[in-house]
Order: sequence, then structure tokens, then C-alpha cells
Amino acid sequence: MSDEATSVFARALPLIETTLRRDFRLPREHARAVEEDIGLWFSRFVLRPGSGKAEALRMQLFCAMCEAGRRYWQWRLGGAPVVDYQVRRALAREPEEMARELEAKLRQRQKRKKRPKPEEESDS
Amino acid sequence: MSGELVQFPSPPQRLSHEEGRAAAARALATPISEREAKASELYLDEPELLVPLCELLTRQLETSPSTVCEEAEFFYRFVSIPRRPIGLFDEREYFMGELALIAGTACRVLFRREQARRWFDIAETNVVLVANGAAHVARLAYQKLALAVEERRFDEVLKLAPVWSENFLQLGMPEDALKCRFLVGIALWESGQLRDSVELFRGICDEAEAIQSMRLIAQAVNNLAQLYATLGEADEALACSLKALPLQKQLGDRVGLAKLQWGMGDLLRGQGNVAGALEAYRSALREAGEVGMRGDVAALHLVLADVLLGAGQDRQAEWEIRAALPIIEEEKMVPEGYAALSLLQESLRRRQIDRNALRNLHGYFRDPK
Repeated sequence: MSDEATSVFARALPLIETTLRRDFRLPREHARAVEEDIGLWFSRFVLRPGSGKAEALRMQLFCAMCEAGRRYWQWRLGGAPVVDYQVRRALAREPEEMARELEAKLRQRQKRKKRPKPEEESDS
Repeated sequence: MSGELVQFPSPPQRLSHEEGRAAAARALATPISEREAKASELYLDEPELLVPLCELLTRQLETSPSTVCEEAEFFYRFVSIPRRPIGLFDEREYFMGELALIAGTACRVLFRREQARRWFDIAETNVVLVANGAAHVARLAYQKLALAVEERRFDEVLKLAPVWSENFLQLGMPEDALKCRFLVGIALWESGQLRDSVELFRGICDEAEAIQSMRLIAQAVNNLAQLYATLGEADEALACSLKALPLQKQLGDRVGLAKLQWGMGDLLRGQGNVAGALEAYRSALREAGEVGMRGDVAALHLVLADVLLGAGQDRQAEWEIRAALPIIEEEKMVPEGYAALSLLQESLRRRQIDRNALRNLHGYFRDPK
């Protein structure tokens, strides 16, 4: 993966992990395998013509994660209906909508990280 | 995104990026007739091979369009039939769309317009299903506009190309945005608005330098050379040609080189330098022939015939026309120039070449841009 793509993926990974575990309720081991798949896909996706900057493609990365969650449950249940309410709710959402929400969350986190701490302000 | 159910756990990655690149080169070095039988050992279904393969083919579009066309067709067939699982999520659709787009572009370069149109339709059915589909739909729209230029549908180009240029900028694709402006420049040129076209190409040169796109700089300077030649500004034309020549050679852009030499032929002919013009046209013919640009080969034979007729070398001119006619017939070119073609054939039978018919005919595809 290019340095830029690696860094985009690494910054998004904690959110991907949380969403796969909490919203899609994947067991830890399966979540890890799905994360690896998403990482591999993204490493090739950023090489496609017209992909632009990796940073701008984070939305696509989150969409891919939602798609992966959806496909995981199709595989796991062989097409049978999902019983778990939490999973059903996650699967019922539009991937684009969920991706937008995750993107906003990530931006907020990054903003919070960049903001100087109050004690540093008083020190100076 | 769409496609087949993903296998879980997904099959392990068999090739790294670097190994994929080497595998792509190995696959291309294997004759097409032997390839399918060796599909497994060549890793033909491996996305790490298909990504660099598409890159390689795209890079060779300008230098070897015939080969690229054959290769893209082979890999498209391989990926699509039988419906085998390729890569993750949307990758199968992506590769099918990309390979169809490459095949269509190669056909367009090779003057095979109907085939190009069919490939673009196939590409469209796939790219709408892939992530970031808007970018691919836009790339496809560019190819369709380029086809419209070749079919002289200039009103359509002048209306749509600026809109697509804006769209490309919004999609973060500045080089593609510039390519759309190229099409506007050519449409202006062909519509007789030469000064506007010169201004546009000068602007394109500046912008191409700003984004450091050597390919676009070379092509824009090449076009400026021909425009100045048409305007009769020989010094400017020659300066641009001399600037473009090493750039085209460095890029290995044989299509561009053929067009540049064609333009130089026009320039020298305009100056009354018949020997120089013949040499330049023959160089262009050689390049176009080696690259497999049959439309340009036919057109150059006709231009050569015209120059030779002017120099009183009727027998050689006849030979050039006889070399062009089978290509025109085989490729079903210039249906709109059918009357001129018939007149020319008739005059050949009488062994007295109809120069008006000849000029009318090569006017239909005399298009060195």
C-alpha cells in the first residue's frame, strides 16, 4: 500500500474495528479477517485511475466496511434472516449514510486531537 | 458496490504488489493462444496481477493500440466468462469495466468506431456498479466525446466537453479536465476558429506545465505546431514542432510522433519543399503502420498520392492510391465519402487519376490531431 493509503487506512482502522464489533457484532477473530480484506481491497482501490487522493477516498473505505459487514452476515447465516436486533439495525442502514456518519466521527476525533490542551495554554 | 457473495474467510492473497507486477509482465509475454491453459500457473484471476496489467495496457495505448486491443479483449473474456470470483467486493466489475474501456479506447485509436462504441457500452454496464463509479463514468464520457470529435460531431463536443471538464475538476481529476479542453480546442480548429483554438492550446500548455503532465504538454505543443502551420506561420510552427519532437520520442508516443511528422509534412509542403514533405509523410506513414493505425495509413497514402501527382509522378501516385483503397474498403471507412471513393476507383480503372475525388476523399479523414 502507498504511504498515503496506509496512513488513511491506519487512521480509520479503530473506527472500522469498533463498528464491525459493536454495530455488526462480529466476533473478534472474524472482525480481524474482515479488516484484512478491507485493507487489501483499499490498497488496490487507491491505485485505480481517477481515484484521486487517498484521504478523499475514506468515505469509500467506510462504504466497503458496511458492505463487508453485510456480506459477512449473508455468509454466516446462508441467507437466513438475522435475529439480533442490533445487527438488523446496522444492516438496514444505507452504507453511504453510515459511511458519512463515520467520516464525521473521525473528523471530530482528529479535531479533538489537534486542539491544544488547556494546561498547555496556561503554561505558555 | 455489488457482485457475488464474498467468500469468508476470503482466499489468502497469493501475490504481493511487486509479484503481481512481474506476473502481469509474464502473462503478457505468454502467447494468447497458450494463456488460458496456463491460467492457474500464470495467476490470471489474481487482482494483484490485473491492477498492474490494466496500467501497462493503458500506458501502451498510444504506442501499440492493436496489441492493447487484443490483450484487453482476451482479459475481458477471461474475467467475464465463466463467471469466476475475482478479488474482493466490486473488483470483478471494476476489472471488466476497465478492460472494456481500454479495449474501446484502443478501437477508437485504431479507427474502429463501431467496435469502440460497443466496448464503451459494455464498460458502462460495469462501471456503474463499482465504488467511486462517478469517476469511471466521467472517464467513459471523455472517450465518447473523443469519438464524437472523430465523427465530426463538433456542436455536441463544444457543448458537452466544457461541462465534463468542470466535472473532472470537481472529481479531483485535473489531467482529465485538461483533456476535455483539448477536445474543445480540436472542435474549434475543425470548425475553422483557428485563432480561438491557438489561444486555448496555449492555455492548455501553461496548465499542463503547472500540473507537470509531460504527455499533455507534448500533445498541446504538437497541436500548436499544426495550427500555426495551417495559419501559415511557419516559424512558430517549426519552433513548436522542434519542441514537441524530443518530448514525443521521450514518451515513446508513436501515435503522437506519426501525427507530428504528418504535420511537418504539411508545413514543408506549404513551403514548396516537396522532397522534405514526402520524407516527413513517409516517416509518419511508417510510424502509423507500425502502430497499426490503419485509418491514418490510408489517409497518408492518399496525401502522398496528392503530393506525387503535383510533382508529376503519376505512376507512384497511383501506387499510393492502390495501397490505400483496400484499407478503406476493409475497414468500411468514410461511408460519407462513398461518392468520392467511387469516382477515384473509376478514375484508377481509366488510369487517369481524378484529383478532385482524391482530395475529397482524403479530406474526410485528413485529421492529424
